[in-house]
Amino acid sequence: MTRRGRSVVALVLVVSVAAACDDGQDEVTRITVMVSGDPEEIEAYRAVITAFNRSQTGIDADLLPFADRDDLIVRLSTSIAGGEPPDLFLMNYRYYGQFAARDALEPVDTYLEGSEASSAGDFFGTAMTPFQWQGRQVCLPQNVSSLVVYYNADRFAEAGLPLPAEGWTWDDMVRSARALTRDDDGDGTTDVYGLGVDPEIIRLAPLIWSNGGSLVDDEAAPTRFDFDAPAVTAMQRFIDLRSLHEVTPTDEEAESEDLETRFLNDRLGMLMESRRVVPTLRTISSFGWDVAPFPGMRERVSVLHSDAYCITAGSDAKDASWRFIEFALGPDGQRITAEAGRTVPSLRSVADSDAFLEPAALPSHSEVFLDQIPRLRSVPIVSTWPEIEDVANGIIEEAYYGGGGALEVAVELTLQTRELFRRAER
Amino acid sequence: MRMEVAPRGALGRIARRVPAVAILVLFLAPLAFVLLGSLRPTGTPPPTTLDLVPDGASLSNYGDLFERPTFRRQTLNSLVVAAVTVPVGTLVASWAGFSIARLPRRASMVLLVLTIVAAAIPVTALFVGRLVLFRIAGVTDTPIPLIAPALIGVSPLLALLFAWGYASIPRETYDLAREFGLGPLATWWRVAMPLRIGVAAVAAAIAFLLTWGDVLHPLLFVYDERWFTLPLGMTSLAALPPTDQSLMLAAAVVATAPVILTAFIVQRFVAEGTR
Repeated sequence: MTRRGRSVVALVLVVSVAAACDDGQDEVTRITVMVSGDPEEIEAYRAVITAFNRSQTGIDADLLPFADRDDLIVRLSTSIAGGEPPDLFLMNYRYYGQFAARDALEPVDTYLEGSEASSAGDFFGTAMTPFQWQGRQVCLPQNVSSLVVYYNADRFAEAGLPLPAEGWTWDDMVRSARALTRDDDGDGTTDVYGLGVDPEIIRLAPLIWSNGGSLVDDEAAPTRFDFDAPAVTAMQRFIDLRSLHEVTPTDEEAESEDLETRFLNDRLGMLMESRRVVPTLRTISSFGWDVAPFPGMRERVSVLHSDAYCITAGSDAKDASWRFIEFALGPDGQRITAEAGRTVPSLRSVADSDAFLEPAALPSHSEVFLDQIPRLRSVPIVSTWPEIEDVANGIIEEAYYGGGGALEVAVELTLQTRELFRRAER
Repeated sequence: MRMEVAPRGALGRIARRVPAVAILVLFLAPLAFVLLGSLRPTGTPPPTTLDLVPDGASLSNYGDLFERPTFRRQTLNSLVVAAVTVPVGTLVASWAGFSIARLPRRASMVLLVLTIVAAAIPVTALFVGRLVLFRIAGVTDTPIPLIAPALIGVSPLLALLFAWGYASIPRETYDLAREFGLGPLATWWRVAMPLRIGVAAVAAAIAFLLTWGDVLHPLLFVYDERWFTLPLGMTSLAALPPTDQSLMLAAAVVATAPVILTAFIVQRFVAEGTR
């Protein structure tokens, strides 16, 4: 064989070996998991993925993290339209409808029925239902958080107020907020506000429900906002927080120092938020704090905050994606995310364990989140809900800071979102 | 006589500088606040009042930033992407501009109109099409989408900038080059480019600014987190809790420094061009 011939044979051998190696690598299925959240939350998801990759050998999961939910939605929309979607993504129940309406999601009910590791009964039904689209379970919930009130226990003690507890009402909260609102140096500027709440539909909705009011004309198939008399009354009570009682920061004050920061700075008596702020609040060392249920008007109710894993219809690794979901939502995966502090596990067994209740860590009363679960309600699940929320939040914010009347707000909300409801798929 | 003129001249100079200084202060003030804020220790709530020199001010946030492997990698990725995209993009834009300037009038007009139309198309309208192209080319799992804008000269505006620059060279100069037997490529390299080096410097600076600050390409086209660049990394630092905001401000200083350096280098060419 000539020297050139030997070189060719050698080259063929090298290529064959390389190809054989490639074949070996092809046995590993790669999946991409798209999530959004702050760095601490992302680290929790990364830990879940690392644990999943270590738990088996056939699937290699990659995390594709985004800091902002809007970024994730833009990316997801583009990648679905471009035919290159991720295999999985994590999304709130208020936002997945736009993708379900485009048949971009692979229902998980058949996987769940055939699963030996999970069953529907393992999860809180309250979180399962909002992820059902046209009768099918399209995504599987990862958490079951809700709106609660965090309070500065030292401020309450200083003012001689009873601590918020199960059964307290909206009136109790307003009374406490008034007592906590203070101008310490007498310069005419409020130094400590009693309460911080974002003027948004997701905050207003549970108050309306707690007064027996309705948000939309038909909960199952909404075609428009439909605020009855109890709803308008509740709306006015919400707006009164700023315009009548002046117990929450003004627009300018909220813009210059967000509510979370104001609470950290010991300049806010109470903060209405979901579980997501807990890791940040755990950095507080200068005062004691805890959590109380959402205070209703007549009924005890709150609003669901829940995210779920969804498999995309365009994924070419659906079985592998389901195996990831089984792990992430199983005891091991849920324990990892629960220990990060910012989620309320959707898996009953982990929610009831020390991994979530963490007796040694604040808040002392994490069971508040679990007690609220049976009385949680969700906002309408329609494809245009993100746009409806945008419009509604603008109107509510203007009335909240500008002192508008609830009736005008109700009319404006109904009129300005009519077209969005008309276009909605459900 | 001198006694009368000198104060008027001094006053005039001061009067001329006042607006410049005012504008400078206006633009430098936010940068100064970012710089001072980056010195605040993490783990403390943000100040509620104007706090020029934070308590416990130190450079430790910069050390913390560069101890983060993610931040180091994202900074390196941005540098690599800029190092490839800026020279290649400037070269492509320069060739495109030279073609527009030197083709026969009718062809030149067609190219000019097409370039203006391309510049006017909202970039968001092209994302899905670009993703499809990247998918067909099989490069979605690679960093190639990040440097792909170089193949179209980064932005149509750069081609227009070069076209304007080359078209302003007297026709006689090009005629002379032809008489010396220079072809189009040699004319571009040996005549047009040296005469319009200032335009090339400005175009390269713009290419750098567009590439360095580009958040959309990594956001939309990168499927591997290892190829995330600094602007995308900064969005995650912006999501840090309020107690760690100074870390984000330190990252902002790191991300802004090359931009200021670029502006400083290129301002000489701009000043020469406006004389």
